[in-house]
Amino acid sequence: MRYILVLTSTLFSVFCLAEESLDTVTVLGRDDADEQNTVDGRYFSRDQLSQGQTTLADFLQQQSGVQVQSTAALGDPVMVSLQGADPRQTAVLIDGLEAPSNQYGGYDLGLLPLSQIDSVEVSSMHSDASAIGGTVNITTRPPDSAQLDTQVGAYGLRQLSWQQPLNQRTHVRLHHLASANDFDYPVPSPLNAPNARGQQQALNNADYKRYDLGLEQRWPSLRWQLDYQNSRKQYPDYFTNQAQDAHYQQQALSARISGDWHQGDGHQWQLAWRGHDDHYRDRDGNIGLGQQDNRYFGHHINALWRSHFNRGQQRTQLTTRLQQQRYVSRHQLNTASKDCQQVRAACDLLSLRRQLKLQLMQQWQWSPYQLQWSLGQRFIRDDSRTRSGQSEQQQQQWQNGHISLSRQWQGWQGQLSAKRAVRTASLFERFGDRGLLRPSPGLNAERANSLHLDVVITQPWQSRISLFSRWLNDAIVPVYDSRGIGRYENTDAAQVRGLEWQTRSPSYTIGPWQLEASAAGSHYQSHTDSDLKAFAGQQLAGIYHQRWHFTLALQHESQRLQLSHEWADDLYIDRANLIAGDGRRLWQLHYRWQRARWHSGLRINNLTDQRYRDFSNRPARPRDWQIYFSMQF
Amino acid sequence: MQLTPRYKSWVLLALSAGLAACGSDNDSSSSNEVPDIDQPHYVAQLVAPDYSSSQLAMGAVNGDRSATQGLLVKDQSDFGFSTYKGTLYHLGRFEIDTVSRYDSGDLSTARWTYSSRQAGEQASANTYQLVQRSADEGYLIRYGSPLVLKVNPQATQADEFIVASIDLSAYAPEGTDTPRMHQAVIDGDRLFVSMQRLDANWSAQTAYIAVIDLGTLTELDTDPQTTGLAGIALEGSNPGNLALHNGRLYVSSRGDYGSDSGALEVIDTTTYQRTTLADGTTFAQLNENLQDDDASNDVIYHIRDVAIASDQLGFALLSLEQGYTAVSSQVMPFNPQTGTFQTALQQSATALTDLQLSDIEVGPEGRLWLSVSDASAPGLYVVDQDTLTINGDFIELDMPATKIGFLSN
Repeated sequence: MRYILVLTSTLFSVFCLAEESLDTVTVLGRDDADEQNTVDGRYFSRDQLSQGQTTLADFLQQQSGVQVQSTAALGDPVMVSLQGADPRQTAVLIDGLEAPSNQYGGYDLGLLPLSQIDSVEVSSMHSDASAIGGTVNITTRPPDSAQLDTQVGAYGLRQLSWQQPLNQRTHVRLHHLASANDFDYPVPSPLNAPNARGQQQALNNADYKRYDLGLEQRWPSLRWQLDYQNSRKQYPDYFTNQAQDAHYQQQALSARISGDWHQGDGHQWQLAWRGHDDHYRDRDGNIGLGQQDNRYFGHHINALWRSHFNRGQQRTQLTTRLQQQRYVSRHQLNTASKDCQQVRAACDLLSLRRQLKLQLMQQWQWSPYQLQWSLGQRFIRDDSRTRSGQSEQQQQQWQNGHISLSRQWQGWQGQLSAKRAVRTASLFERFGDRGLLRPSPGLNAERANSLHLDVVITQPWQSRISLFSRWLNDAIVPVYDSRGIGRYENTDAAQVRGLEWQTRSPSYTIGPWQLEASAAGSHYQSHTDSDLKAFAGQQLAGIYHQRWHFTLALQHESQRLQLSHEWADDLYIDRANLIAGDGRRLWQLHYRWQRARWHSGLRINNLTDQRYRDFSNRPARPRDWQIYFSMQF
Repeated sequence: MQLTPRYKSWVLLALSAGLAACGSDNDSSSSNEVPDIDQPHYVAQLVAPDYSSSQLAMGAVNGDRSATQGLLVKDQSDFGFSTYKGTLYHLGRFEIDTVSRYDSGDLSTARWTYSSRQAGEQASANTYQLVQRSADEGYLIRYGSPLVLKVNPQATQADEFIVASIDLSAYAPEGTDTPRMHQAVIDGDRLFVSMQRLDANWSAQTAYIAVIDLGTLTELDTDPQTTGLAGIALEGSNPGNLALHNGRLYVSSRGDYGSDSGALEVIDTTTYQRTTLADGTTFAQLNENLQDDDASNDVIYHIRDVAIASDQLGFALLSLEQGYTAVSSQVMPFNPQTGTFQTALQQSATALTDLQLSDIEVGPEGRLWLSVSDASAPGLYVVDQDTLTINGDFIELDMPATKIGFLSN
């Protein structure tokens, strides 16, 4: 409620300001219309993102080297993995700032509506060299004119986005997304027929609703934005599929102010705050063990200062980031959560992480070569305390860096690079919740060294080939003892080698039709070493080691028909490699009608309705469809 | 031809070129061969250290004891089992709720799989044990339900499996629906059921043993002279394991995860008289750092398991714990008749020193079987009851065993 009051009063003041005459807006980020492939990474424009996808995850899922880890229901957390790394080893940046991670250390891609995104860049090296797998760099931008995006689809999908410039400087945006998520799935133990295991039923109690409201103002060297988000996710009982009322409600308010100026050298700064207040309620105790009425709240504060110095062919960038993450849990029905003495009861915790990151990057260009290197230093202080006064602290510091040499030839580019990246343990991994997962304050960061060779060919077919090899040390793994009490430990090392490629044909004209084709693949090989016997000499779990993707598109004037196929396999569900996951062979059909001010289309996912189990060994989403309409005014 | 993921990996990587081969070997072996169950076999439930998967291991009790692993592989870890002669019941516990029957040591094909949750029951049954009285009479001990189910293991259809139920909801602590029944044994025509009785905050209330008359399926009042619950109140909280030997029921209780060491108690199954054999003072020399002001470094023992080899020899498994951290284990031999404890088994079986043990069982040949739960070198040891020394080689396993059992016709 306090979030709504703050937002309403701010809206009033801004509507008054908006009446003034304003200058032209300076837009950060690139302005290209098409996909760009460079040795530094891949760039996707707003035009590509808005072609009928519901979420950013839907879009990224189609790219080589990107694996999206999500369950079948819209609204569940969505994580992204790059180059076969764990999602927690992937950095997500929003307008250059590290996206607020949850206490488990990942960023939920589902939190950012697709309509707010201007472009996405996927890179394994340059955006944030501290990320082991790579970086998804998201740039937001207000529309130049009013824009309406609507979508309806299977399983009660409804989406409505409205973006309205109030004047040259100010715009508001509204977004609503809802889904009943009532797709059929095999129920392990139906409530009233427990022996009918695997009976197909429509999933009960999985409704998802979300509302976003945003306001933004831009001046030539200053930008601020305010966003409010409210979502409610019903929690289904996948086991019996009984009707019940467990749900998760999230509220978040975020504010961000950023600016830049150029007096010879360029300087950028940003300050962002995001507060969240989440409730999980299961008052009947239908999900998991016992009744729950839990509150999780806290905030993230991010500050960034970046200076660029250009001296001839040499470019230097110095970045300073300050971060604070505060996380508080309250288990309101559990009196034992205050003193944290019951091994099976969660514990009320207050955890705090303060972090300073310094990074120096330099780039030399002497045509046709370019040399780039960066060095980073990170200082981290973690604190956690219970309501009964037990406290734990830890301080760490880590270094990361990279070096790359690239060369440009006529029609192609090549780059050889090396990287040392670090992932520090998340607050949850370090402090647990005492509900079976105990603190592990001495936990080391995961450290990875990697070598990369990237080649981009622009003629005649636009192609990209990446080879990499990565060595990971001190991988963080949950380990349970024989009493069922667990903690995170540094037990594993792993080596991953991979080949990623993609190629896109030029457009061929056949009569009135234009034909385009593209193909992509990622092929990984992994090998783990572990202190734990069951995990030694295995493949990394949760990653499709083999993945192919083909697309064929036919265009006739303003109409376009696209057929895509994804083949993904070689997946293990568990670290001990006892359980091989299902391969997936998915067809997608997409029809789009593009006019000057509007476009519309139909997308059908999983066209053949393949029933398979996803990376978590849960039934994946069956065939679904979406019809969309977008109009600029 | 269905390619295995690993084989596909090799084929595709050869096609995609440029990468050196670097595969992984999996030493786990699986076998569809049916063992000769006329010879006794051990079975062990193995669970991955991160709880992401589980499997069963099996081997001969005598001779070459090396384990065949990769049996009953599951993508969930919460599985247990019960045995009855040559039959194994694989029990899917929390939010699995299945009972699968495997006969004659053939663990490749289930004779049947039935649900352990009744239609309409909203909570998971979380079945811990199927205790069998005869070929066609068994009882499901369900941690997530107040009802013990009488079942017919010979049932050929699911709707014939559950025969009747026995209501123990009177033992459910206030604010909960279930008494958290944990284990049971059958002595003649009576069923003894232990109940942990955890409240809504998971705090252990006074534990009880309920006694059921299997002729009438009604609970017996073990102390008609007093009012209140009809069962036998235990001194120790959080009862773990039961061992029945010659009309005496031994109960180990681990206590809490703090300063309560639990207890080892014995109950006369005729008179229901209860005697404490060990409690928090019996092995006080094992506790450490209790005298200083810092409670966080206290090491306290908990009585975790009990196994009876003969009228003169039993074993108690003690777990030394510092808060929630398990430090090591001690196995204390004792005389079940007198309750007199000897020096720790580690004195004579030195290989067990500083190991963490999760289960002890007496095998059909009278030896003590122990599960080493250290995930870096998990396995089983066997100890002679005459010499109290290690018998045979260490049985190496890929994952820690949470439970040991035996099959024999």
